[in-house]
Amino acid sequence: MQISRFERIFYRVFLVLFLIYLLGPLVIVIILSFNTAPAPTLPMKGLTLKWYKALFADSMLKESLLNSLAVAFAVTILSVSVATFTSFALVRYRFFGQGAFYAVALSPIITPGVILGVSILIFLYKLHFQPGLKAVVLGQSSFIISFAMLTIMSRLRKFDTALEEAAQDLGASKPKAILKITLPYLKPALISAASLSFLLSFDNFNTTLFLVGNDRTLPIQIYSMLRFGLSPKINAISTILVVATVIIGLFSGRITKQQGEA
Amino acid sequence: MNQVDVKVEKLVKKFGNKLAVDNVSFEVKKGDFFSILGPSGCGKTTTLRMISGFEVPTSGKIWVGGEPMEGVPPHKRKTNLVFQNLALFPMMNVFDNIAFGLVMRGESKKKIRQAVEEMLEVINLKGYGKKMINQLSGGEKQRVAIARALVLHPTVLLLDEPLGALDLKLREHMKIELKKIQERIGTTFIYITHDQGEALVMSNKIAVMNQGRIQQIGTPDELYYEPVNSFVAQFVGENNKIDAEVIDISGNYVEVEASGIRLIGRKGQDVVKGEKVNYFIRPEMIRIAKDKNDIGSNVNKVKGKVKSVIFEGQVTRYEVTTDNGLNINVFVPNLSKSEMHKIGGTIYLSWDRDNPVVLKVQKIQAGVLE
Amino acid sequence: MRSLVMIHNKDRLRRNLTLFILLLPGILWVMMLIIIPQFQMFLDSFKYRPIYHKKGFTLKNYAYFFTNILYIKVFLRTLFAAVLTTFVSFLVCFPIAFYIAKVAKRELAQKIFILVIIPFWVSELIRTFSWMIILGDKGVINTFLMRLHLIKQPLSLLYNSFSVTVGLVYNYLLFMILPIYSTLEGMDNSLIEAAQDLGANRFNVFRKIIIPYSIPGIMSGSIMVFMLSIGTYIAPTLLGGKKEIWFTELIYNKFFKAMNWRLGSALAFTLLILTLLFIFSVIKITGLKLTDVIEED
Ligand SMILES: Nc1ncnc2c1ncn2[C@@H]1O[C@H](COP(=O)(O)OP(=O)(O)OP(=O)(O)O)[C@@H](O)[C@H]1O
Ligand SMILES: [Mg+2]
Repeated sequence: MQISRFERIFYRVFLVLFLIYLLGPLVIVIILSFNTAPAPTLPMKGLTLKWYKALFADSMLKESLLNSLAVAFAVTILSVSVATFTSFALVRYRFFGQGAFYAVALSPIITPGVILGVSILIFLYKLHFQPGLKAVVLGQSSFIISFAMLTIMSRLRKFDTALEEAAQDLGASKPKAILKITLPYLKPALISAASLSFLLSFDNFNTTLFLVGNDRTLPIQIYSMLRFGLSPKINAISTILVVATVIIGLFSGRITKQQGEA
Repeated sequence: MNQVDVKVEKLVKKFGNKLAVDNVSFEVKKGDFFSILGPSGCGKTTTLRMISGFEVPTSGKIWVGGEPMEGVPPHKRKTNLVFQNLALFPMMNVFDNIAFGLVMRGESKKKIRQAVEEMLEVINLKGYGKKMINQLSGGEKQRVAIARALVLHPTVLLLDEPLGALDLKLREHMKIELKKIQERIGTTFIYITHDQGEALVMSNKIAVMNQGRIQQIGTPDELYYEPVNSFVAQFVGENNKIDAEVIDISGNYVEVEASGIRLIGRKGQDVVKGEKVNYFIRPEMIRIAKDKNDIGSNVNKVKGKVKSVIFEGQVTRYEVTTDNGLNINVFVPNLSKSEMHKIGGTIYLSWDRDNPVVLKVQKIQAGVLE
Repeated sequence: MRSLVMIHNKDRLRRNLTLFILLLPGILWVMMLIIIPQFQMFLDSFKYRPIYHKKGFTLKNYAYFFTNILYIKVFLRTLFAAVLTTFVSFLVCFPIAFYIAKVAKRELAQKIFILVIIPFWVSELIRTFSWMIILGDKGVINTFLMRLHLIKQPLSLLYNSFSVTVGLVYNYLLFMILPIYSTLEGMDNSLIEAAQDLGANRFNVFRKIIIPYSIPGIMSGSIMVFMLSIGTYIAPTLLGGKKEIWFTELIYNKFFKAMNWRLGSALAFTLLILTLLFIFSVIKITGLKLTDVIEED
């Protein structure tokens, strides 16, 4: 679109300010993780890796990280499988109450995470099910399945069912046709649903807070460290997480893009 | 060579209240190129899907290679289908597409490689095995889809308007290509199309279908020269349709009156005196003359004026309005360069009594004929 | 005919069985993790606290909430801040989304897009933490200003409504950018050109063509940002003042400090209703469908 010079300048300036607002804080977090000062503040007093070393000595942190990984792993498996089944039912079939079912299935996306946490807490309590990591897996899945489902459905809708019939026509039984043709076609969506599920679970705080009981996930642990007092150790762990998530994000983005084109 | 490969008997398919296929029966002999020809929505695809096992007939029976198909799932039938949109697997290359069926059968790697290479040669795509589907042209995709089915040596190959998506020129080319492939392999083809030209060129048997029913089954020239009803007369080839009323019947001929003039033609169906009928005469069977005395021995004569002249290369198409108000198209073959009749000029049309045919009026749903 | 009817029944049976198997995990999920828990919470909010040993239903929990000026204040403050966050997000995000979708060249647009998305792969907690070290008394901004001798005392930027809003906008603005971007992306440029051709100036092009066209995107962005900011626990507790507590904090306190689950349920249910009200009024006003709004993201 054609725009005037004044507008061009306006957009440029606005964009630069916006990107500073967006990326500046993270850059500061990373820089301060190397500062020798005992609190995460400017100015830089000197460079050090001691905060990173301190991380490895922190057994609570290590335990919570393992917990988070375990939870994220379980949530990813659960969410992607339930979402795949449900997507097939919704895309391939017409059944009574489908519209209502679909609306309810998507509703967790627009329900505050705190409410999901509270309501599941109450329900599990009625079932004499103790809060803890298992409860967290259930609570997080309640909305992560919805996201995974949206991702998978949108690709499944684009799938031409004639391909499945063609496979059957060429001698594949129905299950085999799905295994050989439909699932490979869905692969990019399954990969991005899985990485999305993993990230959402790994980062989740609002729902987890109500269900975690005496166990700790990484966000819960970091949160309590933050409440306790700011320390450059938090910068160090943040830096590691930022680098890790960005790498995973770029990597999975590239994979899904490649797969999607094929 | 008289073995029947596909037999369909009293096939019916209802979707809810809609009768998509209505009491269809036919037989396809070994080696036939059998076409099912009909307008869009007449039930062609549905018929084919029942033969290949993707739809369960509401009633009726199907045999393939002499075996009843009731309860046999698609992957166990010895039919293979070339889909209307081809349905090539986009995530596989050409080789893997063609090999798919053989892999499903559990053939050995060596045998698969050999069969696929052979097939690639048949379709003139030697060396294309590694290409991905989206790197192929329309015509190449077409041939891969056919190869993928043929490599399994089906009793019958079913093709659902496989040329529909191609542009005109490629379609002309593929028509001949397909016919050649079929002749080379000798596999029985059931070919679906709504393009009568395609059907006439390729098939040795055609079933004309409309609104779920078979109208006529015959060789291309039978359909062309001896249509059994008004629908076939209109759908196959170009035809002049003249509304008329029966005046007299004698033997195999019927005399009719249309807008005040009398015409004679063959009796195509049993009609009675006074009945409203359609009188059909093909444009290329009409003789056109400037001079009244040039008519010769033809019994049907009409005087008219040239309304338009269109030069089409091999033929010139004249639109003529007769003095009593009928519109008639005439094709004149251009055997050599010659002068054309002028627009507005008076001319005389004539034809004999054996070419035209008189058929019952048939209600045809609006919009079915394009 | 008889055997045919049987075949039909067998086919239908198989279809229904497959459908049932496919739907079973989904039904379990929807029932056990969404419908029953929320319904249970709804019921609980009308019950007496167990310590009273009273059966039956009561409006006491809600009465307690609605007559308590302190609670009402928290409620209204949260509501106001969420609306403000939504509005500010819109102001910040619209030009950016427009720029990426319509002004920037393809390659530049892709690069900006990645830069915009990257921060959102990072945990919300870390993003909030970054603002703590920026806005604090010894934070980046105050240190900087004091070094330049522009101020003597540190400005109190942290632990108030300002810092909460900054943090919330920062945390959720991607949810505003993406849907606006995707509606604008789908808009045919010739619409804009046609309007210009018909004599509309820049301002009118925006007012009459571009903004109305992007309404669906704006709406789904607003719903997401509103819902996320009214329902979060992170930014308000980490960036907010100790006295200015947030509604989610109130709920948390009822559950884990006061151990009054019934009142907590009433508060949580009120929050749910408020969110639903917001969503449905947006949907009513714009005539969108709920699934459109969600699928937009
Ligand atoms: N699954 C279905 N459910 C309901 N109606 C159907 C279904 N499949 C086909 N029909 C209807 O049955 C009729 C015949 O459809 P069919 O696909 O066999 O037509 P066709 O002859 O192949 O047409 P075309 O040349 O357009 O492909 C149509 O009116 C169609 O709308
Ligand atoms: Mg069809």
